[in-house]
Amino acid sequence: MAEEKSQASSSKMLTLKASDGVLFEVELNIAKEMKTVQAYIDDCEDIETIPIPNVLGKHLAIVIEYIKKTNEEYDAEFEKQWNMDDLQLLLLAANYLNISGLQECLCKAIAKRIENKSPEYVRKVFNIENDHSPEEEAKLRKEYKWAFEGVDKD
Amino acid sequence: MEKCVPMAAGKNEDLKYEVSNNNNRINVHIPDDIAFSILSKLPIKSLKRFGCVRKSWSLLFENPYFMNMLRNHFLYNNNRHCSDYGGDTFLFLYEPLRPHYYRASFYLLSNDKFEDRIKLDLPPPFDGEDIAMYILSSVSVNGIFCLGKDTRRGIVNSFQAALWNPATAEVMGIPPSPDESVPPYRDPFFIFHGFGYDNVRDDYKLIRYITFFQVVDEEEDVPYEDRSYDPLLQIYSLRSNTWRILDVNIPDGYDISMIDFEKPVGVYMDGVCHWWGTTDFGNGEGYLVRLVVLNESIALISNRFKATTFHISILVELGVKESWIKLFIVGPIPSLDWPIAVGKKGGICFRQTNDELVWIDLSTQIIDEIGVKGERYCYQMGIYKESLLCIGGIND
Repeated sequence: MAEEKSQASSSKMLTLKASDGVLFEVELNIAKEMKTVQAYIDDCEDIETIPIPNVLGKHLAIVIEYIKKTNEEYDAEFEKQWNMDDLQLLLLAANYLNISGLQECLCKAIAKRIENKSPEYVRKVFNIENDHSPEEEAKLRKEYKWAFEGVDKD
Repeated sequence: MEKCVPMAAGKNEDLKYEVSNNNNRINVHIPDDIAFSILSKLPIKSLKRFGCVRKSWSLLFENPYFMNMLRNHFLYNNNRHCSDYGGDTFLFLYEPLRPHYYRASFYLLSNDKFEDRIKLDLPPPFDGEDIAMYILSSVSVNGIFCLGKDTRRGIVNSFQAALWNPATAEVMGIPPSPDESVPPYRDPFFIFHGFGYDNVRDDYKLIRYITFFQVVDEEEDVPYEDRSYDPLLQIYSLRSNTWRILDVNIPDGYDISMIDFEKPVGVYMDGVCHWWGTTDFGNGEGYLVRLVVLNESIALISNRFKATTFHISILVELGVKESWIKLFIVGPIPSLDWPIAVGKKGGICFRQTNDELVWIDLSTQIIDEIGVKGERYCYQMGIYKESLLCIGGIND
């Protein structure tokens, strides 16, 4: 039976250890969606616990849930639950763990949220320092005046 | 006994975050390559605005790596009308029945392949042998086409138009406008036409610009001072089944697409009709230009006369001439002659010098033959989505 078959092939469990020590037991086929993890499994066959030093337990839980549930409907609703900070951290996690579907989903979500915002807002969101001189910035604002119409108030 | 293997330092060595004490904001640092992935999914207008954020972002359009990402997103990720992509492609062309004898043909292609075509009969009076027939604005709106036919005898012009729903075979002729049946002292000359949909009033409209020639008639009794040769801009509404004159000033000196093979059809998108005009009367550098709709944007495909490299620029913001951005270059591909239309999947249909039509994928530049040949310059192509809309039912 199909159910049994998938059970058998995924009966091997792995433990992932988040940066804050939280442990997650996941099925092999779920862990394999994280290409970074897959690479380590390929390298060292006898692994049981894999440390994920860059990702907090909170975010690793969300990532694992995503892998289990991802489909068109789920993806469309997924990003709505998280604030901007979490979205960025999830993106970094997805990038580190090399999960392309989740990266796509998160990039689109973040883009959607900043699309109509001002440059000041974007700098705050991404913690970016403005390295333009005032003259340079003034010149850009003048040249692309049309791009500043209809922007959301901060 | 578990075996822990430390992960080797990866690409995110500079990954760090700390929770700051004030309002619990986390200082996340996103490296450039990930930031670019986010930025490549933004509309171009946003990208131009965000050039102010930092220096490297003001140079995005000069970064080939970034531009590739942007182009790919532009071509393949138009979420707005994904449902439209379930439609067919219509192809209107003049096929050679025998050498120098062409007949207008109308096809629906599925999957953009000529082999999966259905030929539809054009309704009268468009089923004749006229070579001056076309689809206004190269578009089908809610499954409806507006067919047009120019007839010229000497300098006398007459123009017939009809609305057509191929799915139901319903045809409705557009009545001539009273200003066409002009006093004998002038003859109309049709400069440009357009067809589109008014979504505020749920109405289908035609727009037309006419200028006049003076006709010398010794028996004409209207005094010269009372005559008018002023050009007219008229609009027809299906709901009211009438024409009316629009009081809009068309700037003098614009010559709308008067290259002899380019019909004055323009394009329609989102409630707006667009035409390509020129104020350059022969002193220019010999550029050929085709106005098209590319993935929900107005675009220009241009090349130097006889050159086989085509530049594609899109108009980011309607009404802002500074917002033309060059996005793609196609070629040099020696076999290419002239662009025809934009297809559904990020491809452009070109006519080759051997009369064959081909698809060129904009991201890979791979050429795919469509399998059809036709008369030079008389092609129109676009997206078609079948509907059972009853044209007659729209009349009030």
